Amino acid sequence: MINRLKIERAIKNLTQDDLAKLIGVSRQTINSIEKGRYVPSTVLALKISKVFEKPVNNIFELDESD
Amino acid sequence: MELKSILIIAVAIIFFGLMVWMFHGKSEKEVFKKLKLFPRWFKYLGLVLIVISATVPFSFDLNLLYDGKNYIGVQGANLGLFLICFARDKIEDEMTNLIRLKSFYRSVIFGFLYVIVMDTGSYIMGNKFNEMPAYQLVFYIMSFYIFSYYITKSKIRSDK
Repeated sequence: MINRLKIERAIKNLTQDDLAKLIGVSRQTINSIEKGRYVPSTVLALKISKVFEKPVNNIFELDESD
Repeated sequence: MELKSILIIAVAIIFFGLMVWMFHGKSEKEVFKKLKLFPRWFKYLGLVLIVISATVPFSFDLNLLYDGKNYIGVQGANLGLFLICFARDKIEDEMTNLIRLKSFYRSVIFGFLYVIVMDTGSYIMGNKFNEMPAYQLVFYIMSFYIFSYYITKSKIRSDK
């Protein structure tokens, strides 16, 4: 799965730590999602989309391998 | 009836009672809700317990050794490992739960392979089966779980 989390974070001027605190996870979780090592649950993806005020599809996209 | 038989029956009743309590009449959502873990400070309590269990029976003349072996210490160390295994982290989220699950999976596989290898090895080499005490297997499984969990977490933390 491809994600635009890093770009969206930069637009909103949020650090990994800020975003982690906003959605109640650890900074390592945000880092892992950005690196594509960890695919978040639907609940977490929806929380992220709420922070960036964008639909989930605009932040997360299916990869060819998915 | 022998004491051992009574103990086995009691453990079986407690086991089935726990199973019924955990799963009876609960919806799927309730069964799969967040893991219940000990408070964070139980980790330090566990460490202290392990250090005490490993040193006290040898340090003082308390008659805690049986045939020169520290059986009570091993049980104490197992309890300490158990507290460390099930103590909360600073932040518990879905990725932590996944790391826990994977670490348990690895440690159970490790324990199973350990039993198979030790049994087969001692049969081939000494023509007899290895009699491994349960507490030893529990000790290895929990140690491997802790090793796997913290190695995975530190790898994630160091990967900037």
